Amino acid sequence: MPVIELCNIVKSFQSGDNKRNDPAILDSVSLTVEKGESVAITGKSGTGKSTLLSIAGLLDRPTSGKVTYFGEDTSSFSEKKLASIRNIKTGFIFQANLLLEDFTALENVAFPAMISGLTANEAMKKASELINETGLSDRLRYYPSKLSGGEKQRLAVCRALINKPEIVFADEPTGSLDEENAIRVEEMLFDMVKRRDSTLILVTHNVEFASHCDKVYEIKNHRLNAV
Amino acid sequence: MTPFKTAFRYSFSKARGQRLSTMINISGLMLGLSALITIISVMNGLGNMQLQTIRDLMTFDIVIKSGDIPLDEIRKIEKVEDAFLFSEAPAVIVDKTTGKSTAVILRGYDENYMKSKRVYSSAKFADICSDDEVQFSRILANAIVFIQGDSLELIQLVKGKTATAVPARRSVNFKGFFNSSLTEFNSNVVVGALDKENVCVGIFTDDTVYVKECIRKNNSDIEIVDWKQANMSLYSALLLEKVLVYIFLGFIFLVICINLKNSTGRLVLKKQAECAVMRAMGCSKQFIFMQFFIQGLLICGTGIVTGTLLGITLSENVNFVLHFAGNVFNKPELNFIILPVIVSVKEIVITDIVIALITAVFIFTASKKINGLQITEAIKNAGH
Repeated sequence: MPVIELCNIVKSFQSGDNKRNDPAILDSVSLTVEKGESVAITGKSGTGKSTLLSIAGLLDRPTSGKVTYFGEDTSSFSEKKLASIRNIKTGFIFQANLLLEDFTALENVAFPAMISGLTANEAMKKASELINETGLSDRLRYYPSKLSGGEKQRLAVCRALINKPEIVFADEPTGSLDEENAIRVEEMLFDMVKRRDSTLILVTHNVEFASHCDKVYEIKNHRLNAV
Repeated sequence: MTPFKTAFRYSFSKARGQRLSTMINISGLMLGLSALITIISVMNGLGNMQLQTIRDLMTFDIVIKSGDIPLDEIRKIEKVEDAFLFSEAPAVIVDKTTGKSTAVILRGYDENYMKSKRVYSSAKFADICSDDEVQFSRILANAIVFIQGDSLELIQLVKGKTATAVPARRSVNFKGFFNSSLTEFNSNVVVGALDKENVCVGIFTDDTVYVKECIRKNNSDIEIVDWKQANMSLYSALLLEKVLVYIFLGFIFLVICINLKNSTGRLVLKKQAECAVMRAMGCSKQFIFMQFFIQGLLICGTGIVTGTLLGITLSENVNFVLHFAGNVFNKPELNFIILPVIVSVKEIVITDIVIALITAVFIFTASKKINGLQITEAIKNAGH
């Protein structure tokens, strides 16, 4: 059974005061991702890559079409259930790492674990182990403002993976990093995802980065095509 | 992770002056509330002192405006401690030697009352007056330019044969001076013998409501007032004064509430991207809302608790503060002021609850804005 299935997804945005829908940014997009697969979605800027990722990750709803998780149609899911899926089944990595600036590196990584119901001690222990894997054990008590871009993004990867999610969504995870850090984060991401047997859906315009995935798709003319 | 923990971090975050904003809001609430408590406590003290002075001069708890009911019958009523006859009527006193006159209240008391322990506790009287004797204060004596030995005349309205009231003059002798602590009493009252035409009954009791009911049962058409009703105008004035203080100081809290609402609103805007990430991590809408709401309540609660403690401490030590200020600012006259203070716990608790509720409403409306958060939009904006 596919972990995630997108069926004829259409997404258009409302603009202006008359609430009229603009032409669709995504038109009849379908995608099936199997467990353990890594999938890259490429395309030029503004073609709707991130929008597709948001819809697939249940952060946004499509204008029409169906998003299925493990065979279940998600359109009827309540806010509470969606929040629970985002917490346990999925993990997100954004281009701008978006760490919580009032929390330490350790607390940032432990945050999803604590929301899932682990005690603070358990979550911190788990987070600490995960951060140690990335070589940032000396940065546990640092606040994000004291960390470099590469370090923040590595922590963002840890945060996305702490609850061992079935699916990891990464939106241009190396987009704002220099080459050296980008390679480091890229390797770390693939390695950690593989070791946890998670599924990776990656949005990037870096062809080299995308080529490491099992499948590569490109969004062109509002449609998704296999490359 | 609980909304309380994130709320606490947000409140005291060093980032972008959030901690300063929190401290300003807490200080505003604390100072406003402590000022309110101190002023109200001093007002309570002054009001109570004023009423106590009046109670000393208008000692009866209940007054029946006619002397028809026998005293023995009244004394038999349960909870009545004692009862006396007295008279009260408007009059004009004239110093015939100087020709000066002034309008007064002529009070006459039962001999038993003047001899009893119940007599005015804050007034010193001359001896008991006979029918043609009066006593008054030195203030009144000055008003009519009275010197001992001058002949005096009292003019009172009495029922005429055909007219409703006609002035009746009678000569009276000066018995002596009295002095009370109430200027108004000293200026307006002449004390004489009991006037049988205008006799009333004064009753002492701790339960005015019960005794009034008992008397009314058998005498439904009788005019009966307790001491609070008799001083209703003063009561109303004190109450009005208090309400006005609450209203004016209430504006301080309105400003604080608006400031708190705005700072919570600013925080909501500032944290939109972080909240979007939290939603992506699995936080519910309620969690996100609660962290802002609790953050506001934390500020409000800290402000109220510290404000209450400071207010009570200031109230209890208001005279020390006043005298200290007198020494610091070289105003020795402040050292002579002794302010009476009554700290009413009930009043403070009600004030705290009302302020907490109003503040909570303002924080609620500001925090609610986060419910309209568009996750993808907020993340996209943060990326740019």
